[in-house]
Amino acid sequence: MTIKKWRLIWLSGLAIMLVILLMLSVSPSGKASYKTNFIKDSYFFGKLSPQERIVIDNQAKIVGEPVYFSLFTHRPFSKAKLTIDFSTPPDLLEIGLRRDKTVWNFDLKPLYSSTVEKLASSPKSFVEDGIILWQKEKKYNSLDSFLSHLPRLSSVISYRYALPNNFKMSEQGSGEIKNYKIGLRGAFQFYTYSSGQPIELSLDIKDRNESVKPSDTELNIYKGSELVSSQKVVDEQKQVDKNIFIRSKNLEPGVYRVELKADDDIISENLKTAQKKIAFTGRLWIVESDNLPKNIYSDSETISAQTNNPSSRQTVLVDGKKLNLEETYKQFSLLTLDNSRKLKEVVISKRDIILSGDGVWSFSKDCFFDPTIKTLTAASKEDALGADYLIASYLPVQKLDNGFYRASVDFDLNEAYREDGKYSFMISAPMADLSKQPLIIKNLKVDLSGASIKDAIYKVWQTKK
Amino acid sequence: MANKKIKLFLIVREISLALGLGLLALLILESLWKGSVLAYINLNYWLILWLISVTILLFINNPNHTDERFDH
Repeated sequence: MTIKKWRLIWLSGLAIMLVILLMLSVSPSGKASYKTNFIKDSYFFGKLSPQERIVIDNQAKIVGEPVYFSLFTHRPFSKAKLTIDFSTPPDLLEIGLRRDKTVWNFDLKPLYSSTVEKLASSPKSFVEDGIILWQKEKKYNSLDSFLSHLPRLSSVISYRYALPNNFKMSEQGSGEIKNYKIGLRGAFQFYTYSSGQPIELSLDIKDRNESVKPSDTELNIYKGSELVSSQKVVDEQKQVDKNIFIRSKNLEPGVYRVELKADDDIISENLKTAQKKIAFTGRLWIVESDNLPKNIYSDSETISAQTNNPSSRQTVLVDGKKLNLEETYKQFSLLTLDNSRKLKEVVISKRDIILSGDGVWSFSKDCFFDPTIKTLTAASKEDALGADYLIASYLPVQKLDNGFYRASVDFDLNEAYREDGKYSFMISAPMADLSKQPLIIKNLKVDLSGASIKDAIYKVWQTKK
Repeated sequence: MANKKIKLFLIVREISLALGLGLLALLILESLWKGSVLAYINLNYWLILWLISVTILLFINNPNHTDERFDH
């Protein structure tokens, strides 16, 4: 064979290899699938983190929660189906997809819930299109009849299912402008009520400028998931004291969610508003306070607290019950064993503490209201739910021959946060002591789907037309 | 013997050329589209193979080559 022929052969081989690599990256069919067991290094899957919550020997074991991992994709996709094989799970196991850049906001979906599993197999339950409805006394025969004739929402527990909530209050939503010294660090969100008047808020913030990365601060008002009004303050690094003012247009009477999107550099000092009802949800990082001890009110069944500051270790009192924060960087929880949504008084004696719970929070009894539908927690037990109905978007787990469990969840990636080609995920097992019984992740398979090359070309052609 | 040496030289030259050109093409593709190459091929091993091939090539004298230093 001549040199020319040899050269032609290896040049063709090289060209074929480049085409294959391009095809693998483009995924012309719009589909791609990746697999990992978190033991072998993979270009597509980031390692489970933080390291101290993971033990890797011949299996990947989660010994603390929550843990995070990332998935690299060559291009964006619109849907992801995650199939996970795991060992005997704790009472509640969830997986979430990160949705926001500034705030660590995860769209959580259930992998396993012992309570829902037991209720799903009860004769009082029925399943329609992956939605489970359990009734204490049989009243509804179909999901449609339940949704069209909803019972009192206080008698319903909703788990990862967006039940329409038309909360109404007889009281006027706003009064005279008051100054609330909130002293919160980082992002937060609260519910407020408008009886038709615009919502007006003025927030004094202080930027610690510790983070090198500039990060803008946003104040948004939502009705459900729909953005009603938004105001942004650009991070100019040098400026320390700032103010965000937002005024919505006239609104329909109802509940609105106000969200501050900010990184942990931002401290919100004063909130001036005429809104009478302000109920915080999610995390509250209290760093400043006029008076100590400080009273906060919550209707949570489980109250969790954490501090990262050694001098802020303390005993938090929840209606007189003690919640000791003995260590830093560790979340401690107190089960109140009261799922009646009774208002509880939480007393903190030192600032720089992060509080969270499954209910809402207010800084005064007058401001308190809870417009949310009760949700299932790790503490919820099937025989003491404290509700007449449970509606859940949940697929029962599959028990495998090797003793492991298999669960699948679907995520919409269109609203997911993707940086450097990576989607971020979280595995959470609230209240579980994984150091005693670690959770083994045997396999994780991600099936991605999105626009095919044909669809993309057609779209470009349609826009040019 | 000389014929065998020429053959070996040509084979190693083609291998190092293929590996060198391949490495260049893959590096260009990777820099244009992050992860398109490194997700599937470890270029460290590719680079080592190419270095080995060019080192061998340096040790095999080109039988057709006349050293110009001695031509004068």
